[in-house]
Amino acid sequence: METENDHTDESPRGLGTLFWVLTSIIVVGLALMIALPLAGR
Amino acid sequence: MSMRRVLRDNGLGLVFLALFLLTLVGQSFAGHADNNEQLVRHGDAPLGYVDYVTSSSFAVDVAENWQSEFLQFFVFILATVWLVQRGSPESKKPGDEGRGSDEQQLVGAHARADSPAWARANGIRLWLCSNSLLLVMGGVFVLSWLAQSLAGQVVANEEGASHGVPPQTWLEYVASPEFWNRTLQNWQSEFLAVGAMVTFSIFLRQRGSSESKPVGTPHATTSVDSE
Repeated sequence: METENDHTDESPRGLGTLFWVLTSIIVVGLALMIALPLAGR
Repeated sequence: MSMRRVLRDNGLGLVFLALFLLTLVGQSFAGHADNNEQLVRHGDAPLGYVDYVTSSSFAVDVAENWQSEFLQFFVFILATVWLVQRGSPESKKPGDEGRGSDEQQLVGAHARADSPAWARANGIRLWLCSNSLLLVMGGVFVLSWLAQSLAGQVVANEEGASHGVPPQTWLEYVASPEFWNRTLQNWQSEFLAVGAMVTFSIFLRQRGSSESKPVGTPHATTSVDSE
């Protein structure tokens, strides 16, 4: 089935970097926001 | 790949990442100043910046907004599987409700050579691949709501202690009016904004935006690709 994106020949390199930067920020943020109150901060 | 090409290909993601970081830093400065004004008003010593950004006061304010945003996308992603809005570019067209056939979804035997590897898999891997966006958005929602409740409990107990009120347990805090006031004031705005986006985009346009139908598309046309 042809889709609108079929013409793209992009490699996912670079796209993955942004994904992991954002994922890391969210994971670290969540970990801190859960750990700090548990530590009584 | 040239830097210019990387920036052009990732403009949307990079701009929102930068906006997030700038506004988070802005929030930390404004929150620090606001927190210190309140401390001084109560006759307490002001807090240093690092102490503030590692405090439950800052965490609860960040977390209560995170949870509502991720809930918004979680509900919207789930709802758009099963519900449609005729005329809205945010919706599939009426008649397309549901999870779609394996052929439409390019999974199993219908996966292409360049499909994600797990789209070709079976069982749990295919299920995870098929629901990964909803699972991650839902997971971040649950964890940030948990963070809001933990940090909110600490802040409420600090506030209570200065007025001689005994501390609340976590369960008492999550049943408290303060927790639900913080929670629901964020949820209502998210649901209003999504409802407005879905409904307004039937009749209103933004030329050039992927969130809009092309300007001349009839109001009743739902999806430009499929009708």
